[in-house]
Amino acid sequence: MMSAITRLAGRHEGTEKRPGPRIDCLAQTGHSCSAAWNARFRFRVPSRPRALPNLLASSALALLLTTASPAATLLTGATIHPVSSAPIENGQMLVDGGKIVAVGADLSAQAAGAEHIDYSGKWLLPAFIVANSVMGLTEIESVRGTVDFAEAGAINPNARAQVAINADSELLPVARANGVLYAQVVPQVAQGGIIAGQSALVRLAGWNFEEMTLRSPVGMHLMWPTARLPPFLPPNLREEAARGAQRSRELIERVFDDAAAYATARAAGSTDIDARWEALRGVLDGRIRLFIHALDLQQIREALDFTERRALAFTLVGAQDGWRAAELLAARGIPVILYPPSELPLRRHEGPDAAYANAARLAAAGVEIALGSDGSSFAAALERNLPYAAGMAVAHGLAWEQGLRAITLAPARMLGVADRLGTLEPGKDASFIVSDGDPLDVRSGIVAAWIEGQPVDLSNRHSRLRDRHQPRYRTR
Amino acid sequence: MNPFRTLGWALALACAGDVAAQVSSAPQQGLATHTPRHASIVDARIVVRPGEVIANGSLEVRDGLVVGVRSGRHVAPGALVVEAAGKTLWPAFIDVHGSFGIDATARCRQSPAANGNGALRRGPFAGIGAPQAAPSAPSALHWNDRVCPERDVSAALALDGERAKALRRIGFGASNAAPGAGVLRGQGALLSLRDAPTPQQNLLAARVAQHASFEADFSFSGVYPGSKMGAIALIRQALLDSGWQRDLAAWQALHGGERAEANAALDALQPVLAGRQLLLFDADDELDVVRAARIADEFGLRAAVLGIGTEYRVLDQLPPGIDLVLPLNFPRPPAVEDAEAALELSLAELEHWRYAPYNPARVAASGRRFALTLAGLEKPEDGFWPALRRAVKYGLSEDQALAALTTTPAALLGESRLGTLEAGRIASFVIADAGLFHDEDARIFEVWVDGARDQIVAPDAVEIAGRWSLRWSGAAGPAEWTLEGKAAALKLKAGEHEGNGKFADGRLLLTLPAAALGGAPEEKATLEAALLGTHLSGRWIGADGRARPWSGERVGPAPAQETRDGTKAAEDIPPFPVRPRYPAGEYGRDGLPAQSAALAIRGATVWMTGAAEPLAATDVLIERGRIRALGAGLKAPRGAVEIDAHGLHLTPGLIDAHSHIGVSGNVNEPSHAITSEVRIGDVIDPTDINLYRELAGGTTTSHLMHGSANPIGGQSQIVKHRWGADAEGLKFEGATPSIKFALGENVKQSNWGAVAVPRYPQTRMGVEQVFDDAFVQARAYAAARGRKGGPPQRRDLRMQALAEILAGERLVHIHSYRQDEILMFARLSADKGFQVAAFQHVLEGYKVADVLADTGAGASTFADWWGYKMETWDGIPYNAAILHRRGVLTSVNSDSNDLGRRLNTEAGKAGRYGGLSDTEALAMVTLNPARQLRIDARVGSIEPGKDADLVLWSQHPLSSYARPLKVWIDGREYFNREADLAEQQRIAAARAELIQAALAQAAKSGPPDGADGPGRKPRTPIDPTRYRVLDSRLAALRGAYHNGEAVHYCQGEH
Repeated sequence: MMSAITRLAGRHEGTEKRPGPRIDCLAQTGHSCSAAWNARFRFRVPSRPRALPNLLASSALALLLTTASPAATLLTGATIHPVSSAPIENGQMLVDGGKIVAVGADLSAQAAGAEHIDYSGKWLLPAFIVANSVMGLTEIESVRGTVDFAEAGAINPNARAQVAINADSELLPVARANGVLYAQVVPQVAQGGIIAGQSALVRLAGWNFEEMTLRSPVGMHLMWPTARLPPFLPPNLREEAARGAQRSRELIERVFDDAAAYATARAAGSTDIDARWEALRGVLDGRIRLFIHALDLQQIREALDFTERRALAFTLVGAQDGWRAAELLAARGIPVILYPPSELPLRRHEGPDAAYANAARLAAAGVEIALGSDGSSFAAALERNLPYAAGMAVAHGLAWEQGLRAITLAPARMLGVADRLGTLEPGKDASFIVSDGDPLDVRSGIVAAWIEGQPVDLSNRHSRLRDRHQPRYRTR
Repeated sequence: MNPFRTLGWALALACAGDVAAQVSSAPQQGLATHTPRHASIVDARIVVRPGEVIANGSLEVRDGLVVGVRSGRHVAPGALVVEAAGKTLWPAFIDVHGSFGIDATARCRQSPAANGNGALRRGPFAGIGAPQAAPSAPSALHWNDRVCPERDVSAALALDGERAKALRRIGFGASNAAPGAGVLRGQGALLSLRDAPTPQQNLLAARVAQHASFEADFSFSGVYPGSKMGAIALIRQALLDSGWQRDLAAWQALHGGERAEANAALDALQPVLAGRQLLLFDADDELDVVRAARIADEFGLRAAVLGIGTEYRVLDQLPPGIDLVLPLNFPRPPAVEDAEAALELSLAELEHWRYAPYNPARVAASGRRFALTLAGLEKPEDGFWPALRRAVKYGLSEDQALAALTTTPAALLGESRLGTLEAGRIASFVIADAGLFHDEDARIFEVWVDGARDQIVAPDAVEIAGRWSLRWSGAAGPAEWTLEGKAAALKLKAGEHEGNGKFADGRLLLTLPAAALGGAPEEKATLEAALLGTHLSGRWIGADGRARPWSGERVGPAPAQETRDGTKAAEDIPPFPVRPRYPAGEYGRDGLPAQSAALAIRGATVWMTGAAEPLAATDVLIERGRIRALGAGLKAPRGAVEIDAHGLHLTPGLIDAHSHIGVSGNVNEPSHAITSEVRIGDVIDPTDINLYRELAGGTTTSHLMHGSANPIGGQSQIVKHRWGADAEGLKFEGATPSIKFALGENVKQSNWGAVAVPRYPQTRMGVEQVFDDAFVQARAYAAARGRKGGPPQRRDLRMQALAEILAGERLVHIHSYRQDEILMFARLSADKGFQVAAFQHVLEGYKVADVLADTGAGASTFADWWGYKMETWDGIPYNAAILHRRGVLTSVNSDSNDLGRRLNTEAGKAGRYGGLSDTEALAMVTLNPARQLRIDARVGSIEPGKDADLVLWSQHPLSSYARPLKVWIDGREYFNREADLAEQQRIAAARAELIQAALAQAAKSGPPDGADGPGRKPRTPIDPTRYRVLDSRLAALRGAYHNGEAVHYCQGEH
């Protein structure tokens, strides 16, 4: 069984690296955090890193993406969930040249000469895509030298996530092991920041960021300011924050005005280059999708007003209060990338299930939803929980099919790669997972994963540490 | 009350002869003053004391004292006669917690360095919570800068005559100057509000009360206390030390011995310990009221607590014998015009707006003694009477109100000379209209303080508003006009002419069209007049500049005014709930859920835990909160409640071995390396909505722990999620006490940033030494305490807790990550002779599982957290399974108000990653944590005899899709999915109704004074240049009824 898996298993397993010699860290230069954290009152004090591991030396985990085209492979026996159509029990999928050739009940006629892999009793589904993450831009939250997701300053439209993605991050294989094979890597902002920069959609395997990248830029990320503060803060703080939010809103307007003026000047032949406005030109002329991160109702309403006034299409990210604006969002056809349903209710008077049920309520209103993490460094280490987040939404009213869609087809569509990912259909990339049961349920696990026709090594830092230490107890 | 008895007593005193005039110790400057101070107020209705009224009587006042009070008209020979027919006399009021006389900038302990600017502790987080001045100059007082019980407010007064006058004119004759900074703040001074020539004459009595609060510095900058529980521990230790010093001095007087510490601060607490002096707490929220009362109860103190106005919610939580001081800060109508802003209002907050004026009446009805105070009113001179009258409208009787302003404050402060108008008392009283306590138009005419008269309104003065008949000189003016409105903004109507003006200090100023006086249409005339009784006498000036006399006579009230009077009293008073909910507002309960005599849950798949497999289609019988039997077809007693659970799953209530919810005022006492004296149990917040949210996820028991900011943290508290109970009711009865220890990055302040003031230890080497030394000291302490005879031994709460560990009476749960520190502590604990109950987090436990197994220590870990700091880099999701298989008692915990809502799927993940059976995985959030907490005789499995703490799940309990349908604790149904949905509906409807009411109120004008927000005091401003708005530390400012925000205490939680 799973000959292809065993064929590659261990092939690229590296030697476990202990943290390298400890060095005193660089002087503290301040702290960065995502707008998401700010708004959720999850603020961490600046870290004073004391040790820096030799991270970059450990790189042998990356998936080998061979350039040579392998033989066609026929996957048999599994219940196939194509997402685009009804499940096929004991179905077959033919893969060749990194693409899906066919999906059906019996493909033996087409599969002559193909290598057979028997997945009887398993589930076969499209690869999961985490639609909002800082994976690759962070390693250890408290070690500043490993954290690269928030540039200084408020307006960074020219910052590109792609070029800072650490292909050898230990976090990536950990996510892969649970079927999360793609991520939108999203820059975040330092405190008070507004435009974070440009995101990239990457496969979580590859020798370097170029090989990992499917699309870059995917979108321009704007963190909408919030004035929603814990009510227990002294009034002077609350007023200060409200003024700060107002200043930020004015700044957003000015930035878009300035960028528009710049675009006009450039179109008329100006050769003066402003890196920031140059980057925003892509948003104004529709080449780069705008993603607005907004959590509470006021932020969402303001983002809707802003984009309507400026005739900008956008994707909403976060949307903890999304259910309160479901009709507005549906009417405008705004797609939404949600923070996980495991968020806490924002308010005391809301039901204990308010956040869990957010996805179901939005879906019921006709809003297209995808799931992501909250874009924090803490969450980056835990992106493997993405399918369980979908399961949680299902437990609270979302149809199972919609839960699966929210981590496959929906993000593929929102990130502009629905021609390649999101469903198991002929012509799409052969990126899929095999699980021993319902993968949205914590009781099931992933047994195999493929990216573009290649089996993925599911081992990771965790399995290696387990395998290294466990034998100690067997021999004693 | 028999009026004759009082009268006879009063007459007897009146015949006793002259009372000496006040003699000043200050040298006479200039000429002596001998103005007579002798008066008879006659024909008045006299309220001698609450409930005792002389319908028509006379009060004789001489040299500052009441010398006679009797029925009928009696004029003492030679006395000034004050006619008071139709008026009422009340004793003047006493504010037991006043700010008059206090220097608002004064700190607990003033050092010369702290007097200037810029002396505040530096660093970006200085000033969060309550800022403290720079460390004091060396003193031989208490070691802690926030403990200054020796401070005597009378030694440094800030007297402001205008302030005294303002307070006097609303009826107050005396005010206790309450110090406002510190934990033990010093002793208040009772001040007369008379216009005195010297401060000595203002001082009625020094040191009338010791003042206390739970103030702390939440900035993590090393200042102790850095938490509310630290402040409580500090107060308890100071009281113990004071008693010990007293006993030691007595012992040494007999036996000699080494010189004891001379400490005036501890001496100053002895009147409190002896019950001679009131200990008056200043509470931050209603939970503090209960906490303060419990300290007073513990030490048997005479104590009172200044509340915040929500005391009606917690009356049944207070021990007897503790008095309350109630503010009158009824909230303004909430701002609801902006629907998005209104979304942020909790139901608790909205309801408090409606019920706040009930507070004094509810407290009165409960039979508890209370005083009323001006504290909390922004402008007492405007706000006091409207608020007091509202309290009366909401059910407070006039006698209750009067007692709360006179006899009760006098008794609290031990002041027998004030509070009534009996002969011999200080002559401080109010002369006012009879309807003073309920009629909004009632006036105060005079206030006498210490026999000194302050006339506010001339006794015969009439209201300026009304109809006046007029006589003019040099013009043909109107024969009559009407003045309407308030004195400061009068409207004048005379036929078709209208004018306006104001009336102040007995002088009327008006402007009206000159045409009314025969002048040209475009010209104006100005008028002025003095009000003399009912007569106006003045001059008017036309465009020609000539002044001519005019006069007027009041003939009656303005017609418009009569109708206004008729309608304005119609405040819509909402009924107080017959069965108030607790916690107030959303999801509150009007009592604990019923505990049926018998309950049969039939046909569920029963996960006993401990057994290999769940029992299919099994009945569980519960009697009086305990599991009675399991089996098929169990026979239930008659009347048993029957639950059909076929197709569902029943598990024990989930147990969270590591939680930080439900704690007020910082979960860390982050200042010192050892803070074993602080107790989470002192600061339980039963209103924390997280308790309910986690209950809804099947969690029934949580181990609430101190954070990990220091090696030896504080004492933990196990609670059951009995949502609706008070703090005491949540506590798990009889559980073995436990304590939180910590290792690694947090305790060596690795990730604290610029905030940290470096503290020993800074390395894992030093961490070991802190523990080693602490237990050496604790053993010596225990030995000394155990010695018979000899001098009294100091009881040290810090050492006491450590001695309990050595005695096996307190369990250690230690936060740990790396294998080296785990191994180190395993060896150290063995060396010191105590058992570690559980290593918490213990992410590298899998590397030393054999060590843990051999020492018998448990392990409580995360299902899958890792990577958030250096010491978590080797965390793996197989940890729990490896530990379990090697024989370590292992649990999976939350350490989070998110994961605490779904421990079942956390267990599911740990089980699935590690290949455990379902029953093994479920045990990690039920039986195993119960065993680690030593509560497994009561909870953790479904076995006869155990508490009926149960969860009924919609499906397999480890599945992502499982949802609790019902949750029982002690056989009481604390959560029910259907009831929760109904409650959500009720909350939505109740909020909508209150928002509608607030919108309606906004159209009218709200009460003139009030407070912001629910269940908390107005916050003092924080310097915005010194903090980040969203710093997690600010969460320590949260009072009760917060939103349950996620707060990461990166300095010392997980």
